[in-house]
Amino acid sequence: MSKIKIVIDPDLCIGAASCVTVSPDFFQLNSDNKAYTLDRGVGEDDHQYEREIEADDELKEQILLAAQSCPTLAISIFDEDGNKLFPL
Amino acid sequence: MKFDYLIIGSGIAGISAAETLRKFDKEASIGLISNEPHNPYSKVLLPFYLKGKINYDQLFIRGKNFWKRNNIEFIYSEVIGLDRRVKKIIFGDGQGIFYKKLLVASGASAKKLDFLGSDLPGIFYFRDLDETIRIKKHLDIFYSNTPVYQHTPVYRSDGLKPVIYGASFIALEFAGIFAHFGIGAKIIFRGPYFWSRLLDETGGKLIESFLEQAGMEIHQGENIKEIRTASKSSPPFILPLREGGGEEGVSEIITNVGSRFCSFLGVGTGLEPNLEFARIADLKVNQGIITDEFLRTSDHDIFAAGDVAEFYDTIINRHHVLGNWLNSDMQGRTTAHNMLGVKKPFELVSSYNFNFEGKKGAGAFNICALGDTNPQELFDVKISCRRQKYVKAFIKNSQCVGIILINSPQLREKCSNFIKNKLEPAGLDNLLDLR
Repeated sequence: MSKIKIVIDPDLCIGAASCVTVSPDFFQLNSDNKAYTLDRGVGEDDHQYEREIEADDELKEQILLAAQSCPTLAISIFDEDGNKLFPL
Repeated sequence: MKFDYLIIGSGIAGISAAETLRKFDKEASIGLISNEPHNPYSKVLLPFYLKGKINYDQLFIRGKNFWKRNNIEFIYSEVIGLDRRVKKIIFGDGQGIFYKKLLVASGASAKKLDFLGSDLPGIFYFRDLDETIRIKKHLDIFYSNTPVYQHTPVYRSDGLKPVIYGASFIALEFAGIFAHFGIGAKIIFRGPYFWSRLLDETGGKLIESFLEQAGMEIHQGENIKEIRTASKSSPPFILPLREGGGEEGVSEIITNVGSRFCSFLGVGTGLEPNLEFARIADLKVNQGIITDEFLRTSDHDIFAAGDVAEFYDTIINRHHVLGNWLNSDMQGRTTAHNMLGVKKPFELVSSYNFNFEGKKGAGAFNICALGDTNPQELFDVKISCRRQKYVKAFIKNSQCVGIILINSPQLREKCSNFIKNKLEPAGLDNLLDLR
């Protein structure tokens, strides 16, 4: 297991919800129709746009798919060393 | 040349399929054919680019070395034929490529105007990156504070007001761009109110009120008959399309109501799937290329996904065409699994979300379309409208198959689950209570 960081740019988010479709335990839409982050379905602050999570390879792949599914590249993913995994 | 997997189309359906194929098959040969020379980009980001919210490099969604990184051969060409007997696609120069499995993700093109003057410069459909660059150049010339090109002999100030023709999401995109720059455009369309085939009059007039707040003029019941570059009362606008010279562009449009001067005509009158080569190859087609729930066409080595596919929807139990990013992305991924031999039915309550930002917030609204809202189908409907929020549910065979939400994005997930779980339409009354 290692950590990855999810960063959402709400200015780019158009509420397409493709990330929610791919990974609903880690992405939902808030009252502003912007995606925000959760950790395994838990997220009390619906305006938390950055979050670090523990992820095995399978989960990391799922999160990356969610980021790739975004039509506006509003989601960036970083590894625990701060290297950008997506978008490249 | 022969590929294990060959894909036609570099939109998100084709790109997602290519990525998924490579992920699960490291050795196969994968080719992707596109009639655009660019790296993968997002059409959803084109309005952001025109508004100056992102720069050019940010349009590209998979980075510069996408093809090399994924060992996918990119082929820039136009497919004009398909010989299914020998499993070969044919290009315009007569050359061809063989395939084992083929994915047609050729998308849809704008319905072009087809009357006198409809090929003049200054007419835009906002469908791809190259056209977006031409739109940007046109906007810079005619609507910036410091016009670059001064050869226009005499021009009327009202002729600079852009015209948007049609009532569609593309028409709203055009309106959104002009509203962003504080430019009022004239929106003209045939129907009695905006989206008259999709909404009732209350819903259509609600959208019109937002557009007017954002500075647009609405002209219902109007259709274009002719487009002119110049007339006795309207000198030509000269567009500097070539270095050292110009070309006469749109100057005046003639409608059933009269004539209007304009130098920019944005057209949003609908899309049509790019399937002519499929039709000629005797694949089963209707409004799109017909597929089963595995996105497989009438030829079991050929699949279709995205805007071009008329797929069997297991949630509403019928075939239909859906043209939006989410549907195309998910279909691309599902199709790849099926091309790999893993039988995976496509199941999704598709959604399309559009935010109109208005003029510095004035006239801003949100639309979310879920499931099947095809205006060409007959539905029973339930409608609710209260305090600038609007909901329309589409019911067929006692099942809610689609919902349109205006300014009610908070209902999206519940509505999506309602459609997915095929709940009784009687339950809609509580769901759609807008108080």
